[in-house]
Amino acid sequence: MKYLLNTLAIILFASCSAIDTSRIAPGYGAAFNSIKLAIFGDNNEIDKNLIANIPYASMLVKIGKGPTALMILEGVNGDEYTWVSADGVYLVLKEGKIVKTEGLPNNLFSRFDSPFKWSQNLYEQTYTSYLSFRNPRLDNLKVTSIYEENGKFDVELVFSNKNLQLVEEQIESETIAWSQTNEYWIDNNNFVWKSTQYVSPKLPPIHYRVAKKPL
Amino acid sequence: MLKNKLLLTGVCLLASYASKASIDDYYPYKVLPSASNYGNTGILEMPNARMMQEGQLRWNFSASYPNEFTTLTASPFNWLEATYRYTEIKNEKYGPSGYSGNQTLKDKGFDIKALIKKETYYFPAIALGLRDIAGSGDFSSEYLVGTKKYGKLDLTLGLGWGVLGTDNNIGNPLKSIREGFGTRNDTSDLGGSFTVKNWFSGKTALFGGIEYDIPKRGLRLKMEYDTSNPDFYEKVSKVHSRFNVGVDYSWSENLNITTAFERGSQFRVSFKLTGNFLNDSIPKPKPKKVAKLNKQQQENVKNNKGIFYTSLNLNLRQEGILIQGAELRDDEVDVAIATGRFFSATRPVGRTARMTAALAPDEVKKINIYHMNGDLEVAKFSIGRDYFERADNNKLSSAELLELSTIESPNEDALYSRAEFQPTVTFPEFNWSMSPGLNHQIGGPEGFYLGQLFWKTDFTFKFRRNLLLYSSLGFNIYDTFDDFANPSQSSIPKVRSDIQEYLSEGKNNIQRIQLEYFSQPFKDVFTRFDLGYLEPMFGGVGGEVLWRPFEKNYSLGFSLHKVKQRDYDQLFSFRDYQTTTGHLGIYYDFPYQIRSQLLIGKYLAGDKGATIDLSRRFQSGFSLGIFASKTNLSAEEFGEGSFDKGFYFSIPTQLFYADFSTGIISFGLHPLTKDGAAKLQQHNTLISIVGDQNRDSMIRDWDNLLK
Repeated sequence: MKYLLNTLAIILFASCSAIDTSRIAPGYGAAFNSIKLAIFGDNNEIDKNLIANIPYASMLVKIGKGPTALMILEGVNGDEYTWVSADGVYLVLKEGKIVKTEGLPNNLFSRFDSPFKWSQNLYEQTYTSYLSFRNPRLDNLKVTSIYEENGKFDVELVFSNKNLQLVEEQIESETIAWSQTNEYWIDNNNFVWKSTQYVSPKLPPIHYRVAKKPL
Repeated sequence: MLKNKLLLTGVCLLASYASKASIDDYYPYKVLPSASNYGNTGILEMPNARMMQEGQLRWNFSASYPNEFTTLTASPFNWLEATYRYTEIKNEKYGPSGYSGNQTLKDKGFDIKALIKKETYYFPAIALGLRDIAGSGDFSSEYLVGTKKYGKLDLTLGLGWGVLGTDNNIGNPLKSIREGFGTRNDTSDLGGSFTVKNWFSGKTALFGGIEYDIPKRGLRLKMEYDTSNPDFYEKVSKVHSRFNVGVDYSWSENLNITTAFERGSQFRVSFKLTGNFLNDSIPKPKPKKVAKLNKQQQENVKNNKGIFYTSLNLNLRQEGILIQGAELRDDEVDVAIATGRFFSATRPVGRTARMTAALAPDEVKKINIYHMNGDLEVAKFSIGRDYFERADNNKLSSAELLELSTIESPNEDALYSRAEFQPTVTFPEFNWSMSPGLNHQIGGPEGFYLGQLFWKTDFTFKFRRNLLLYSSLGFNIYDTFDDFANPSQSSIPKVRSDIQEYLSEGKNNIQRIQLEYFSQPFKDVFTRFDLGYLEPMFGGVGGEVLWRPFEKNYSLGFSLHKVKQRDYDQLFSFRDYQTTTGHLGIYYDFPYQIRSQLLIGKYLAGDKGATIDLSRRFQSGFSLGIFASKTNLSAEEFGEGSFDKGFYFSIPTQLFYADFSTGIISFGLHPLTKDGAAKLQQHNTLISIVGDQNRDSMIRDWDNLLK
């Protein structure tokens, strides 16, 4: 025989840890906007004029849902292009594919690919790559890729619209049950103007749009 | 050549080992030890020595026949788990049908499990646990268990007593210490007491289990040798197999689903929802940066301080920080601030220092910031401008900045009342807020869950600084309280046990209307006076005084109220019962952010005694606490439960959002609503306003100054 069980719980009430003072000292507003404008000048939007005036090749990069950042071309080593952002993130691109990252919480340290060129016939074979990561370290993760053309589209870039070929790359690592789809928008000269790439299982997708193409 | 081959083989082996050793981090699922059927970390029916991570809460619903478990487990430390559990026993009735209809039996229980030795390379982790303590004891068990990991295998071996010892496959080894360990007595009829003399006594059994992780698929396979037989009501056919098997799937980091086949005849499905509140993992807006004044602007500011005050005020308002007073002197600036945006005091202080450093003339070398909570100044920060700027540019560490700064208790003459710049505030000031709210009655005979959804509307009129009228109204949206049919049988004044009448007759109610006045008559001494409907069940007049020495980790308080019981409808009338209640409060902060409160005094029903409250606060602001009271009532007078006890937790809402917030989601549970040890539920207690505003708290949150 159980006794009468009375239980009272108060759940999910939003309360305030402090006395609400949010309405103390009201009434300052538009009158001081002029002072604000005199002192402030910051604007987080990336100005197209700013990009246009930079004498280097540049691109806009967004990692996952983060803010858009401007990256400029830092150097060229053979067919590898190194891009750098103001906060010290490096991306190394080869044929438009990200082959190395630095400055991110988790980084693609290196990758060894089968010989790869957009100009060759990509679409009837499986490519194999070995990816190594840092933080945490993992070496030589086998990843296979299959490419597929998916039509031509008018794509809005930073300064213009271009009609570009969309190529999708299905990547898969059976070892860790990781599969994703990367996208490349390529012009007739096999230059990748825009791309979305998954470079590590521990990183969100990296999106980039080239603003000024390297010479 | 052979040497080279050997070398190459060695390098390959090493590389393969390195690769294997780290691949766990890259699997799509993070497979971790998961909950047992009983809520705490374990295999299925059997426990293991694995523990939840620190600062977690886990809700577990585990359904089978005849036992269905709904549990809440918390981990105040990485070595301690505490579980509160409701068990539905489906093959037993709650009581006679005239009393509780067709409702099945519900049993409450409380478990505790402690890691007593961490796992090492050679030795297993060892844990000691108590199951169903201070309840009816139907599942009462004790265990000592070890778990060792071998690759993806987790092997468990343990010794169980009580229900876990039902298999009786080994003699009780403790009998060699004392013969009394050989027998186990029935538990107390009243429940709620700790039957310590039964612990580790009676039948004993050796149990074990194997768990295997498949992180590629997010699975943890489980198999165990089950030594329990909780189908003690003998309405279930006998146990067909001592081996239980199951599989746990990590749907996400927060959600696990387990299916199991137990005792050769029963299927079980469990859902486990886990939240980790140790740290705030959602990025918040960074401090706003402003350009430093140029020479011409500095000259303008020196000639007209109003420009400084107004620009500082405007910029801080955009950060949700409100200046309450400011004074620009030759080489120092004083600023008093209040905020309704930031949970941590040091964060708005840092943002104010940054803004002040940018907007003040170069001659200013020191920034003094008075942090206010409500209208009380609770801490004064004095920061060297140059040091702050260097720290802000990563040229000085946060610890070095702390060393070079001072944090002290402000004097009783508040800056806002004497500063050169005092923002114009028009009184009376009016604030309001609204939110949905829930009332529950869980585990009663009329139904396991009866509840109410209501709309809570709060109004605050501030007549002058520190004097305000606070009211809170509740408007019913939907409820199931009409089913109540069990009036209180309490033999002492029914100060809480008439809860059913309060809930059913006061669906639309005035929860509080009270006048509050705060003051700080002396340095570190705070007072509060209140008058009105002080809580849903009592109204009256009273107050409190709190001495909180800023430099110390203790406080002392005293509260006293003359109160009269409100009518069940919680509108304007009163019942006959009245009393005087009050407590002496001793508050002490232990290391590891463990807080204690000891309240000694007279409770609402006139009983006298003490309440102890222990809680752990985490860096994120998440708190877990337990409390217990013992008064001069006998266990029989108190009734079921024997003495008052319960637990609570609170989670800052900012842990769920991408912006800062001072809001808190609170959950508190008294397993039984009893009249003994009932305290007045006061609003805006001084300890809640200034208790976490001492020097240690500021140092604890110091890193937020630069974030």
